[in-house]
Amino acid sequence: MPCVAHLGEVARNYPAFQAAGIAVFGIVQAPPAVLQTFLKSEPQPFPIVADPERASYKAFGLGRVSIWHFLRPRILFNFIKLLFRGERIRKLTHTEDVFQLGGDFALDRNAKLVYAYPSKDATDRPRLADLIEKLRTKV
Amino acid sequence: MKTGETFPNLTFLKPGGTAVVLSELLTADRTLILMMRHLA
Repeated sequence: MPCVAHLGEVARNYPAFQAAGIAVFGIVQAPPAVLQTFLKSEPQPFPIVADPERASYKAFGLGRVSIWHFLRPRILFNFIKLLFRGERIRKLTHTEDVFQLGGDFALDRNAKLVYAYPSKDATDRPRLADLIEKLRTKV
Repeated sequence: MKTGETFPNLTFLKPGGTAVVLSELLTADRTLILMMRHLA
C-alpha cells in the first residue's frame, strides 16, 4: 500500500516532473500479466515495467525485511495513517514478495546513477518536493 | 550501488510481455525510477 500510494502521488504530480525535465518509470516485481491487470484498473501516466527476476532490485542493492518489521509501532502507524488518507489495501498476488524493499533512483541518459533513495522500511519514501528539487539540480 | 556508477542495461517486460531494455526507458537527462515493493 505505501508503494502504490507513492506511485499515485508521483502520478498526480507528473506534470511537475515533466516541467523539470525528469522522465519517470516504475519497476515492479510482479509478472507482466499481473502488472497488466493492475494498469487496467489503475492506469498510470508513465511506463511501468516488470522485473519478475528482481535483477534490478539486486543491482540497486535493495534488501528484504522480516515479518517482525511490520509489527514495529512506527510502521503500523504509517500504514494506519495511509488508510485514514483513503488508501486501500489491494490483494497481494503470490507472485510478489511482501518482504522486498523498494526505493527511488534516478539515472542519466548514460545510465549513470545520479540519485539514490533506498527505502529503509516498507513505508519509507522520499518527500515529493525534495525529490523534484534534488533531481532538478542533478544535471 | 553508489552514485556515479553505471547501471547495467537490464531487460524488463512491458505489461503485454514484450521485452524492453533499460536504455530505451532513459528518455530524459534524468529519469526517476520508482522501485515498487509490490502492487498491493
